[in-house]
Amino acid sequence: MKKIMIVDDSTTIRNIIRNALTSTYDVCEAEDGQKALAATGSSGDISLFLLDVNMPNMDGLTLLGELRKLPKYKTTPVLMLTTETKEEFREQAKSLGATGWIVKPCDPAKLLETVNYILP
Amino acid sequence: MKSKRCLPPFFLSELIVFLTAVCSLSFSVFLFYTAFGLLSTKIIVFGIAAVAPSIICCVCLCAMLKKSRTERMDEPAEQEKNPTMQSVASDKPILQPEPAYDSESVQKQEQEKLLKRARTVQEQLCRPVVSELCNSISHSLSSTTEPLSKELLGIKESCASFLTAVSAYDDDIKKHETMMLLKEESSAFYRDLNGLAVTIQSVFSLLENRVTNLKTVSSRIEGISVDIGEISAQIRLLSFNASIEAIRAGAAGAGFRVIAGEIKRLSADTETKLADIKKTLDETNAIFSEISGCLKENEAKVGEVLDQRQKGFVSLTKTLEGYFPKLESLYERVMKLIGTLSKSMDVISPVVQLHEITSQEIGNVSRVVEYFSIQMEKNETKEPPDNQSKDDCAAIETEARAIRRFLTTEDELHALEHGILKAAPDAHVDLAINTTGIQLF
Repeated sequence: MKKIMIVDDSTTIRNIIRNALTSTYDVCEAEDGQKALAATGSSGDISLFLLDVNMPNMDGLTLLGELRKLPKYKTTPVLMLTTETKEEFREQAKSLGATGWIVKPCDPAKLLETVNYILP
Repeated sequence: MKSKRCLPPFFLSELIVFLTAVCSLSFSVFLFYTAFGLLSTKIIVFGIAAVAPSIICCVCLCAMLKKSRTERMDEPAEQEKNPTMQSVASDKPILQPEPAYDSESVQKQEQEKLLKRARTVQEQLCRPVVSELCNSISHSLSSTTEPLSKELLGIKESCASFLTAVSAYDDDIKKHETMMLLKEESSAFYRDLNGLAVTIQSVFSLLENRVTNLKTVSSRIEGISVDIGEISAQIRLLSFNASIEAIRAGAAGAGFRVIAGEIKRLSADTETKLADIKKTLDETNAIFSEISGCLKENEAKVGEVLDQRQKGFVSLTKTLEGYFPKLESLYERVMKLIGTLSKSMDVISPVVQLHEITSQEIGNVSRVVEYFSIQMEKNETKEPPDNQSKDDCAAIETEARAIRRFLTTEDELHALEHGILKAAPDAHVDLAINTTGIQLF
């Protein structure tokens, strides 16, 4: 079973996403960018990341940049999950190598469909 | 304006007090004269003239005092409704020389200070307290949502797993395949068992026949040995006669006499062997009889066992046949239970989702309150903008975009949209409500 990491400071959002994905994927979670980065070393091979943009300690875009520096996760799909609607943030994520941009609120079924499409 | 409102009542009150004092003094003098019997017509007229104004003045004084009390009681309420009245009220002590009124004013000022301080404290407390309360509710909801979701997920998975396991028997139970197979197998087994019983019976019969045949053979051998015994007896008699004849012949029959003796001895040996044969045949017959007895006994035992097994098998088949409908009924009930459980899960799932969304929304409200709190603190030091209406609209749009960052559910976004429309109908803010939400690069 492929592994997905959800990084969001909201427990509720993490719960909703986990409930949507857990039947098909192995899901692990982190509260912020720092913890997620620390967990990448011990969480085994992660097939996809779902990152919130606004988070304490380390935001999602910084985490994306840090992940791309790691050879292991240089090409791993990363979906940004955010409430930000500003174009500049989206462009920044794109330039950093994000796979997609998801604006909250997002339908869990559509999210699963998208993840299934990215991870066939 | 101030003098017109304040002077007449104070002037009148002074006058009425003065007149009351004069009239009371006059009435006292009248009473003094009456008490000491010094009444005259002039005094009576003076007394009546003094009593009437005294009563009128007292009534006026009472009315004035009552009015003054009512105004004092109404003043704080009016000051609260109209702050401009406060300055008027604060001027009163200057125009009113009574020391008692000055203390009331100071008391009011103190009360106002206390009220203002209380309001400031309330304003300071309100935002963090509301924020903390929201956080607390959100935390409580989140802490229950997680185990609830996990439990629900566990039940769903268990249901699915159980359903898969039970569904594997679906064909067996519904199509009666297993039952038919079992019936066929049992029938075949029953037939084989019957066949085995017949075979065993025939084997026993055959064995008995063989034993009977052996007994017949033994009887024949016995008959032959009797015949041989008779022949041996005749040979012995013959040898005896030969011996007699050899004696008669004298020396010529000496050789013949030896031969007759040898024949006699052979005859005696034959009889001895015949006795051995008879003994052996008797023993053989005893063994055959024993075998025959055992065969009969075992045949009865095997027949009994086979009969019992056949009966048991018939009973087992009947029991199984009886259990199949029960098993089918049980299967139907289990399937119905799983169906009901799945429906219940479908009903509970939205409640859990609602629980999660409510938790999420309360958390978001907390963040919005915190945001407003920070913004309001910042705004306290700022000057108001020049173009009020235009900047208000722009500011609302900016604020709405900022608030959008804290909102994660569709209902919240609609609420924000309605709020913006109420605050500024001309404002246009793209809240990204109707977008698909997912964009792949």
